[in-house]
Amino acid sequence: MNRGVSYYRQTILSTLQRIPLHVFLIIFSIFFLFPFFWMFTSSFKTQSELLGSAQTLLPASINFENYQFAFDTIPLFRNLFNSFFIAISYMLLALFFTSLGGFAFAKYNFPGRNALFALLLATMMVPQAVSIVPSFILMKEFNWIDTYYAVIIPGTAHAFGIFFMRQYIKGVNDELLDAGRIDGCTDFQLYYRIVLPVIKPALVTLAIVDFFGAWNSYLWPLIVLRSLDMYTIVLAITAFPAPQFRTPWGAIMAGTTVSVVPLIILFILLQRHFVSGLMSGSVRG
Amino acid sequence: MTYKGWANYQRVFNDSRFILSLKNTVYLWLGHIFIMLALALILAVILDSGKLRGKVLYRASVYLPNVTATAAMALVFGLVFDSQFGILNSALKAVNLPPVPWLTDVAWAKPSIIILNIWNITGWYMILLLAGLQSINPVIYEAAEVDGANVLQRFFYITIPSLRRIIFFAFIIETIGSFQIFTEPQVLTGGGPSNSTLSTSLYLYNTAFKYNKFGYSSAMAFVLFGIIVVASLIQTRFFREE
Repeated sequence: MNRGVSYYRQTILSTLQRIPLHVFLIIFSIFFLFPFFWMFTSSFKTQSELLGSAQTLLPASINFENYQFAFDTIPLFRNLFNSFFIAISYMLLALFFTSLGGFAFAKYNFPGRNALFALLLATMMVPQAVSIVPSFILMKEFNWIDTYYAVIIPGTAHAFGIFFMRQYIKGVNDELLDAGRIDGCTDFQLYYRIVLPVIKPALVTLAIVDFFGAWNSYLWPLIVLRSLDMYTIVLAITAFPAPQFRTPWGAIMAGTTVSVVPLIILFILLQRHFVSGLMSGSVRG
Repeated sequence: MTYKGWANYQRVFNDSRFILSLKNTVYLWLGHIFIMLALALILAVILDSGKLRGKVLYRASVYLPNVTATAAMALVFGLVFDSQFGILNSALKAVNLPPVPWLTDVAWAKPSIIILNIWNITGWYMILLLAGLQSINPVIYEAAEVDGANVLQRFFYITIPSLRRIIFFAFIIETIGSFQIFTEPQVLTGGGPSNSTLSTSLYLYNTAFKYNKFGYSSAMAFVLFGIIVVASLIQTRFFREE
C-alpha cells in the first residue's frame, strides 16, 4: 500500500474519530443483517410466539415444527434439487457458450464482426419486459413450458458474458495460438487446450455470476414453470398455500431459510472471488 | 392472432392504469435513488479507510442482501412489516408510538417497497463506488492536505469530482433497473393496496399472464422501453453539459 494513501486515511480517521464511525457502521450493519437474523429465529418460533402480542428476539426453545410443516406441505427437497440442477446446468452451458463466443469475437477476423458485436452489446439495453412475451410464446411453441429446458437454455449465451469473455480473451497471447496452429490444432482444440486454461479466473467469476443469478431468478421461472414439482426453491416458498387465509409465517420463514442459507454459505466460501466479479460490475439480484 | 395495427399503442396512452403504474414507477425510482446512492457513497468512503477494524465484516454485511434472492427476502420483509405481528410495529409500540399500516395503507406501501429496495441494492453500489475510490491517485489527497484542505473539503472537491463518471454510471444503471422493478412489489404487496404499488413491469406481467393479452402487454413494453431510452439520453446529455 502506498504511503500517501495511508497518510490520508490516517488523518481522515483521526479527524472523524473512530468511535462514532463504528457506531454508524454498526447501526447500518444491523439494518442490513436484521432481516436474516429475524428470518432465522422466526423459523424456530411457535405459532403463538410469532403471532403473539409480545415479540421476543429469540425463540423460547428451538423447535423444528415449522420445518416439518414446510417439508410436508411443499416438495422442498425436490425444489432444492431443481434449484441446484438448474443453476449448475445453466452455469456450465453459459460458461461454454460465452467463452466460445468471446473467443470468436476476440481472436478471429470475419466480415461484419464489429457490427455484430455492437448489436450484441445493444441487446443489453433492452429491458426484460420487451422480450418476455415473445420468449414465452417461443417456449410454448417448443412445448417447453414446465420443463427444465425453459429455465436452463434461454439466456445461456448472454451478451454480458460474451462481452466479458471477449475482453479477457483479448489479453491471451497470439503467439500461443500461433504455436498451437503450427502444432496442427483445430480451432476447437485451440479454444479447448489453449484458451480455456488461460482464462480460468474469468471463468470462475462468470460461474459465480451465473450460478447466483440462476438460483435467485424469479420472473422467468414464474412464467415458464407451472407445477409445484418443477418449481425452484425461490418460487416454491412464494407459493405457500395459506390454510384458512392465515399466512403460515413460521413455515414461510423456514422455507426462506432453506432457500437462502446455501447461497450465504457459498458467499462466505467464495468471498475472495466475489470481489473480482463485482468489480466487473454484474452480480445483481 | 389478429393484426390490430396501431390500435394497441393508441390504447396504451388512454389507459389510466398504465399511467398510474408509470407514476408509481417514477415515485419508487425517485424515492430511493438519491438516498441509496448517498448511503452507498458514504459507506464506500468509510469502508475504504485502510486501518479500520472489522472492515471486511462491515463490507460483507452491507453486501449480503445482494447475494440472496430478492423474492425470498421480500417474504421476510412481509413479516417484518406486518401491521399486526410485525417486529417494526412491536418496536414502535414499545416506545409508545402508534403502529404504522406499512403494507395496507396507500400512503405507506410505496415507502415500504423503497425501504426493501434500498436494503437490497445498496451493497452492490457500495462495491462499485469502492472500486472507483481505489483508483483515485493518492498524490491528489496529499497535495490538498499540504494546501490545508480539511476532510469535508477533500470529500467535496476531490472524492466527488473524481468519482463523477462512476456516480453517473451508477445513476443510469439504477434508473434503467428501477424502471423495471417487478419482484419487490409482486411479492411484498402484489401491487396493492388499490394499485398504489402497481409498477409498470408488474402491470405488464398481469396483462400478459393473468389476462392473456399478449399483444397489448407487448405494446406497453415497447412504450416502457422508449421511456427508458429517452430517460437515459436526457441523463447523458445532462451529465455531459455538467
